Amino acid sequence: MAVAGAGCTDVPRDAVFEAAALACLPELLRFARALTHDDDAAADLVQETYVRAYHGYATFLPGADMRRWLFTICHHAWVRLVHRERRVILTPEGESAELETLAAVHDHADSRRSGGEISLDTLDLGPAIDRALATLTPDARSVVLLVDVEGLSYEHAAEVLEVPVGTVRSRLFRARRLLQAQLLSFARDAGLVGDRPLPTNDPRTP
Amino acid sequence: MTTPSHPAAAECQEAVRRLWDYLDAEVDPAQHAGITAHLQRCADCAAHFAFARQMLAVVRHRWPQVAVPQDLTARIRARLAEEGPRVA
Repeated sequence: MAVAGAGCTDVPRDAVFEAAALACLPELLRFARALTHDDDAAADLVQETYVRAYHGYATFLPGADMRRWLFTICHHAWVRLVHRERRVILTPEGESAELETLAAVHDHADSRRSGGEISLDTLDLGPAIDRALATLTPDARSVVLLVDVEGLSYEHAAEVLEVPVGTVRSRLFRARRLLQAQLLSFARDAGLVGDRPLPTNDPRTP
Repeated sequence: MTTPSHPAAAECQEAVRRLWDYLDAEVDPAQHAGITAHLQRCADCAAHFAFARQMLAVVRHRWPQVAVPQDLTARIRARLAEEGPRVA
């Protein structure tokens, strides 16, 4: 980046920014792709993110998590972009994370009753994941990516997405239940069921 | 997993209610220990947790890869150059 005219102290700091920030490009692009669900839009969003990060680098604390900081800027840029273009991005929020969890377990219990154990280890689920992710909202895809793929805690995901931790939990658990339902359906269609039907009156089923 | 000793349904409910929190390491040590102990004596809950863990692994490992376009880094550098010296 051009640093002509900048003070001597800016040069190394800008160089550090470029090295550290661009090292996060693959993860940042993946996050942007989860938000936009479009390759070109993701690339544009990433560029916008780097410009914002460049100007806001003074607010970045040395030793902080650069990747998480960039995720936050990226999400903020995306929210502003979508608000400007579409005006409405709000979707109904499920308030009960625990109900989503119980529902997911119930779905799995139903599958076990009707077809026996289902293993997800024995088939290439890549295509199924692609299709399932396409059905999620951007908010749902992004929270699954942050927690399940990038390994962020609920608290850190909440910081990135600028929502309460409770919202992260409800979004995440609902998204997982939807993903699970689609993977179960895919596994059943593929014949991935065991030959040991389970009892139909399992008293421990929630 | 050990032979199930038919824990009370309420105990199962409490365990599965915490399923995702447990798998995400978002429960406190006492809760973690309690759920772990429950899973050792409840085959059905253990099966639910195992399946959930399996699903998370699938999502983590099969998340679609996003290839970085060859020219994207150059485009970013060019955008930053256009911005001029950073105001800090």
